[in-house]
Formats: sequence, C-alpha cells, structure tokens
Amino acid sequence: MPELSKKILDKIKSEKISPREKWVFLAKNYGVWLLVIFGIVLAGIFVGNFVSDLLLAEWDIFPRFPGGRINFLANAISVFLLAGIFAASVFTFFFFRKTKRGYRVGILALAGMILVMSAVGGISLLSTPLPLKFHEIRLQHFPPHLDPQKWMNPSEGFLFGEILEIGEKILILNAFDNLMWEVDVSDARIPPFLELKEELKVRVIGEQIRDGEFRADFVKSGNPRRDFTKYSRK
Amino acid sequence: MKEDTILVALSLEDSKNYAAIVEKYERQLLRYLLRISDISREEGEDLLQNVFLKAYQNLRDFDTSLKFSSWIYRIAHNEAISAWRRRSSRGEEINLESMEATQLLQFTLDIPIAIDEKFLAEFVHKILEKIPQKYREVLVLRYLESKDYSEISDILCCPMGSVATLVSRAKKIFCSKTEKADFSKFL
Repeated sequence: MPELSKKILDKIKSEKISPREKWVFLAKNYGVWLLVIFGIVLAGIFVGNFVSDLLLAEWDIFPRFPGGRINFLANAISVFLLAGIFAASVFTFFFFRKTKRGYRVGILALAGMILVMSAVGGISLLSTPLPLKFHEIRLQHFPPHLDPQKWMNPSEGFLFGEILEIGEKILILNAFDNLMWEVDVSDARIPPFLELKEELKVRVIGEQIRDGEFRADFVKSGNPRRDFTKYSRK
Repeated sequence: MKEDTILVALSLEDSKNYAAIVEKYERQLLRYLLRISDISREEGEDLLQNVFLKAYQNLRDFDTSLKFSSWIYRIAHNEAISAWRRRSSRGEEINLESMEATQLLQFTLDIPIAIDEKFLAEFVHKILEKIPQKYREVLVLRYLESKDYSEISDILCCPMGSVATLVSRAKKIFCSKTEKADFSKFL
C-alpha cells in the first residue's frame, strides 16, 4: 500500500495523464442544462396545445354531444398530446438528473416542478403563434376523428353532411345517409368562424321534424379544429 | 474540507502533490471498495488505482461546495458498480473489522452485543453478502463508514429522502436475514 501513491504518480507521468480542462466540464454542464431547457420548452408546446385543444373544444354542445360526455372528453383530449407531454417530461427529468445537483431533488418534487414549468411555459406560449403553427402541423398528420356513425343519427338529433344549397335560413344538406335534408337554421347557433358555403361539411344538432326536415339548434363545422385554425390565421 | 481544497489546488499545480491526496484516502477507499464489492484485496487495489487516476483526470470538476471525501467516494462507488457489472459476483472475503461489525449489529438490531467479535464479524459479513448491493452499500456507508445522510446522498447521487428510505429498508432486510440465519454456526 505505501507505494500506491508512487505507482499512481509513475503512471500519471509515464502515460502523460493530465487533468481535463475546466471548459470540458463547463461545456458538458451547459449542454445538459440546454437539453433540460429544450425539454421544458417542448413539454410547454405540448401543454399549450393541450390547453388550447381544451379551450377550443365544443363546450357549448357538451351536454348534447353524441355518445355522451365521456365521448366528448375523449374527443377533446388528445392522446398524442398527452403522450408528448409525458415523453418531453421524461426527457427533461432524465437530463435534469444529469445536472450537477439534479440528484438532490426528489422524484415527485422534480416531476411536479417539470409539470408546473411546462404548464406555465405552455400557457405563456398561447399568446404566440407557435402553438397555432404546431396545431396546424399536428392536424396535417393527426386529423381529429369524427365518427360519422355517431353524427348521422337524425332521430337522436344529429345530422352530418355536405351543404348543397344555402337559402334564407334554410340549408339543403346531402347527409351521409345519402338523403337530402332541409335544415331550418333560423334559431341555430353558428360559430363566428364558420363560413357557410356550398360543399362545406357540417354537423347539425337539433331535432328531426319529419323525414327530410330538421330544425337546427347548433351548426358545427365538419372539421372543427382546422376551420378554427384558419379563422385564427385571418 | 478546506485542507482538501488546498490539496486539490496544489495537485493541479504539480502532479507530485497528488500523492498527499492518495495517501490520505487510500486506506479508507480500499476498505470501502472491499466492503461493497465481492472482490479480493488485489482486485481492490487495482480498482483503487483506477479510482485515483479517474479522480486526477476529473480534478477540475470537483465542486468545492461538496466534501472532497464525498466526491472521491462517489468515483469509487461508480468504479465499484462498473467492476460489479463487468464480472460475475465472486464470494471473496471482506475484511470487516470486529468492532465495526458489532456497531452494525447494534445499530440495526438495537441490542447489546457481548459475544466474540471475531465470530460476529464473520456473521455480519455473511449477512451482508446476502443483502442486495444497493442496501448493502447504504449500510456500509452509514454504519461502517460513518457517513451522514447528506454525504451518502452526494456519494450515491440520490435525494436525501431516498437515502433515508434505503437505510430504513436495508436495516429491515438486515434484521430479517439476521433472524433467519443460524447464529449458532458462528459461535
């Protein structure tokens, strides 16, 4: 044992081992912090989109959504965004733990911290065009799915089809059951961004008067999120 | 702690000064490595040499807000884990000192021990061998190396709360293994 220090010093000398430069450690440390910040921003974008999805959800028809309230929530909440939040949080968690003092923060405290920071970041991002841009890209790759079977049920008060003609307070709709419907929209609530025009796909919630005749309480876009995005761009 | 910081600064100026650090920590680090790994003394010395060489290469990464001993124990811990992964576990003798073994039993079982310490050391060693690595390590650090929770947290790179939980679980495991073991074999 006494010669251990001699052995080590000899090895240091013979193999020309020298302490690594300070900048190497600084660069590594800053690199890890950059990855942490990147993870939080990414999680923030996902959270921002998740919140905006919830805000844009058709809450006005929440009680009358086909398939019930659970189906409404399943439509409003994007599994893709939830998975994104989770993945970005795990990424941030992993790299935060790699920072010099990261190990001192407990798992639950760290998970909570990441979620709060992502939420604050995400909500702050809502005022920038970034979430909307991300929203558009997401819709291109993951368009929201509306089940025509659920929306094409006139006796239950749901109609889904394409506008053929627009009259005064009347829409002629070619519904997905290949029947023509005359829809009375005189008392219907229509979102401000929805510009009714021929060939536009719409969903209607209301009441069937008789075969081929329907009274609308709500007229909704056949592709709600995309139309809203276009509206917001304007 | 201040002394260590000075030694680090001096070692960075001239590698010959690093001998002071090696001499100060070689005994306790070798003992620690032998306690936490199933390795022979020769293997332990090789491992220790790697520990000191790694520490020397990373000397500029030493954070002066930490204890130098915690920092170098962490390097030793990481080296032991790497060595552990490299080789299949072998049942080499761990040179537990009798007095320390007695302390471990007293801490964990909370009973007065008045038996032959040599047999007791062997008994504790056998029990420790049966305990999973992560629990064995916290017991060694807490009771044999007399490190506090904050130091253990810095060495193992885990939060203090987790250290407390690990120590508590390790004590329970140690107790249950002790109860199950045939103590008479060691007397």
